[in-house]
Amino acid sequence: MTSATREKELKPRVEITQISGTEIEVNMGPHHPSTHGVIRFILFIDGEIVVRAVPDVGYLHRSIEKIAESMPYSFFMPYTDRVDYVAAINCNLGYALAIEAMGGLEVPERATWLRMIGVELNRIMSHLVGVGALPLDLGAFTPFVHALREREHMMDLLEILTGTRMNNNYIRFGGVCQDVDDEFLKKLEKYLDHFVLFLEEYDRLIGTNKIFIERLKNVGIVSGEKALSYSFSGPNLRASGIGLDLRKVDPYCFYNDMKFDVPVGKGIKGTVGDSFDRYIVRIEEMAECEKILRQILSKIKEGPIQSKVPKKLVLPAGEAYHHTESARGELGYHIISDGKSASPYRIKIRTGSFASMTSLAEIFKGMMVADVIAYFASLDIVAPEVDR
Amino acid sequence: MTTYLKNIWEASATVFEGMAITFSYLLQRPITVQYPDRLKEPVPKTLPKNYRGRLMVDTELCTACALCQKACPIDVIEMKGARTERKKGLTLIYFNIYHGKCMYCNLCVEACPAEEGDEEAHHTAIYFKKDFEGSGYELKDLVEQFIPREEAIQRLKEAEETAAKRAAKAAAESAPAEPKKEGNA
Repeated sequence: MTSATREKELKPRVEITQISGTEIEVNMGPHHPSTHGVIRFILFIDGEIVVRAVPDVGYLHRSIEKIAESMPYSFFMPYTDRVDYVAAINCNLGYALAIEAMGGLEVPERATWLRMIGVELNRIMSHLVGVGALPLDLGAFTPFVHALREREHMMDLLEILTGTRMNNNYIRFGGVCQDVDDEFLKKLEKYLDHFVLFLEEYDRLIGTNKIFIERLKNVGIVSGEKALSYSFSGPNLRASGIGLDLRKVDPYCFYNDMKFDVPVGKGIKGTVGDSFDRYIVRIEEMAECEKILRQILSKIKEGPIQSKVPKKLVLPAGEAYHHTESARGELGYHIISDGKSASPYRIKIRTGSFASMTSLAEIFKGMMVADVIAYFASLDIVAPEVDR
Repeated sequence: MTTYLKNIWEASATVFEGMAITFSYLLQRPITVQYPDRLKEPVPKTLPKNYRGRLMVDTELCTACALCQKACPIDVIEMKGARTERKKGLTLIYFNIYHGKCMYCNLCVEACPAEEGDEEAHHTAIYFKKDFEGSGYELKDLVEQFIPREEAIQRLKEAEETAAKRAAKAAAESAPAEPKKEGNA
């Protein structure tokens, strides 16, 4: 190692330069009500204006990727729940699809439908937390309670589907862990009828609120070009006007048979890519999920839910990358196998939250401190997904 | 001036619209319930069939094959099986579950080969109860010994005795063969 690189390494990660008389350094987090987990920013503020900001990640690092190397492939499935606990089945699915693609495992038709039900329910639940926590951070508590009440109903449904409320560990290689009866499907359909009404009511409750709109419109504008350069994905990218949805562009499961629109930010209250667009895109996406769920319910058929998978799974040597559309953007699993052992050589998880974090330093510059929270909340970042 | 007044009007009008929805919930029955003493029926009765509560072991049904122990990613299960004169096959010596570590992933239940019961009351030897209220004051309260300590010690003794007997028997069986070998040599 040359002395220059060593010096670079020894340098503190967060550079603290000379602070002038008017510039104050403020620590926001790691325990801050608006960061939903342990995320820390160092804000250099001049009055109410942020001069520059340094996001500091790594507080929730659990080295999940390293843990994966020490265990068989199937053991890692419960750990993927913990990548994004708000949308756990989404994380299960990405991992299962990557392994199945690599090992050439087949999935029965009914299992795929059940997976899609789980994933779409989970997506709605995750967006409910997102659009519920946004007004909470801006000071409105009531919408959060309404959103979580609906999430609670969905958890009851997931309880029947998977047996647990959170960290479901539902998907297995070549299938799912348990079947449901028709009663569940009827319950789900009945619930969807109620959910449409709820979405309308929720939009009336907070979406039309003038104060809420004023807090969000033209705040934290991320243009489409910028969003791509930050490697945004998922709802955050679509809010910037780029209608890229992996379920449409690179369909997996049976998404190519599904009819649904990809909502994009249109700047209805301000500019394309502002915080309000990120809110409204999530609301519209929940309505699309509801459409997809209804189509699944009309197409699901009886059948086996698990194909035959070897007990000791050894994947052929090589590597594979499989990406799925999670609630927070592209969730990709890059798996490398050495072809000999029953555990992976390396697993890399690509998550949407971490990509969203990269925009903070630049967007925070010149913002009011109150807008910092509005922008950060609109990104719908989940802390465990940032670090893994 | 007009936009100023219009803004004030819009702000108050939209806030009142939201308030109207909040008010309508005031007249409905609350969705929350007082837990745990004001419930119509206990929560475990309302849970679905495959709900994952606390782990439970049917020690009569268990064949001590240790598949669940191998299936657990985080070593929640601590168990041992050995031969005794109690029954054919392996006898369970001890079976401890560390509830504090368990992440309710269902992998052990799926691995279990011993099954019992009809479709309604079907369960494997290791299964999830619907009971979820299991908090304790100390970490050791969360270690459940499905075979009590005294019983486990007794069984271990029996297993040792059986092992000694078997060894003696095997030695006795192989003993007559030895002179032959010597003769051949």
